[in-house]
Amino acid sequence: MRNSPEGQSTMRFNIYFRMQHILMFVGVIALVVTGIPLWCLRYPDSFALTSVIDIFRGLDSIRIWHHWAGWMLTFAFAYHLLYVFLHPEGRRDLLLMMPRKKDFQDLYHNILYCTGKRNTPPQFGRFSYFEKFDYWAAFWGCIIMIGTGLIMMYPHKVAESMPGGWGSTVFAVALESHFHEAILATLALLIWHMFNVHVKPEKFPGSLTWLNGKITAEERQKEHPLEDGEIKKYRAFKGL
Amino acid sequence: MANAYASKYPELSRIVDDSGDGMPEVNRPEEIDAIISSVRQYLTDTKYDLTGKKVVWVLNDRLYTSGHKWEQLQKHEYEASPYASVYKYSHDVAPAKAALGAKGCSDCHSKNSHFFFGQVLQYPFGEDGKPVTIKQADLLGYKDVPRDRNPWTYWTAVFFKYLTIIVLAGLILHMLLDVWKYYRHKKGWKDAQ
Repeated sequence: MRNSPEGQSTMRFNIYFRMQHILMFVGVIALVVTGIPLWCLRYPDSFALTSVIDIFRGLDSIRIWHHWAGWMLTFAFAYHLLYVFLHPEGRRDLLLMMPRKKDFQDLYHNILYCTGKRNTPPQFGRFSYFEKFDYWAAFWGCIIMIGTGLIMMYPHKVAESMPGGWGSTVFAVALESHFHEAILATLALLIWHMFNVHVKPEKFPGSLTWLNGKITAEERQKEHPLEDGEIKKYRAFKGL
Repeated sequence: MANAYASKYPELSRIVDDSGDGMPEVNRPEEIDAIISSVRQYLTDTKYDLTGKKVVWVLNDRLYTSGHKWEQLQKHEYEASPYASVYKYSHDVAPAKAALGAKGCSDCHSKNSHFFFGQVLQYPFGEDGKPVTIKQADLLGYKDVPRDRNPWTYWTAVFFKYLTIIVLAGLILHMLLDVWKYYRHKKGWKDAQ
């Protein structure tokens, strides 16, 4: 955690993390836009499908764009994996991002607080339970979407490495998983992530943390009051 | 025919309308015996020379010499019967609007694809006098299991559908609680003022 020149804000996310986030959201938006007509292939007679395909000048063209966006997501995910395993702040954040018993207690506490059964909100560390959910949902989503996407891009290579007859089953399961996980990921991002960072009354219309990495002292005190203590504990654990 | 000649050839009365479409069909053994013997009698009555000839009845791909005696006739795979030609006045060329793909990919690639799941004629007459039909996929000999009927795919879809419903329901509930909390606090703050 570094102090910003203004003294009022602190750095929450470093440039590497912000780059990963930007790469990821650009890739995901491109994947969703190009994925909708591919997803709609299950409803081939729909007007929406044919219109979107026409805009992209054909299905093959959409597939090429979708694959490029997929490679962008793969790059962002690989970059993130390297970051959380190699960079000291990445290693620290991965550890602090792990679900703990306190997260479930915080959820319960928050429900009681929201329903008026408790007077004070739960106090969070560097990452709240809903931020952790966001992160692990995206992590799971990347594994599923990239994994199944690669199977669908290289079905023959996958079939060659499978015992007889399993190639088509693996392909069919990959296609089905890709189709459904796409809906889950898109809706979760559109509904949950957008709500928490933009639409939520306290957050509207959103902060610039994703761009400059900074968080105000007031926000930090309100949303992550236990962060300093958590980081101190981590440093003690690591002998820093 | 059966009605017109019934008085002269009473055996024809054994031929009845099994399918209920108003037209009698010759498909059961006693009906086949009745038509063969009546026709033979008619030909004899009309002095038709039957020397070296045999009255037979052709039903589907069988040639009957009596109700219980028949032999198989050769036919092409695509024919329902050797005598029910698929070649019509259109020379079997369908209009463009009936061509596969004219209504989109789902002409073939769908659960309701007529090309694979449509019923096609196997025999013009069955035991009940009605046409015998089978799925086109069976006629074409396609044995592969459609993707959505593969148990692995089916359970994958079930897993993801329920995961999506549960996760989204939880998220929406959480968001509603958040909004409720916000307006409750806002109202409380206003009341305090």
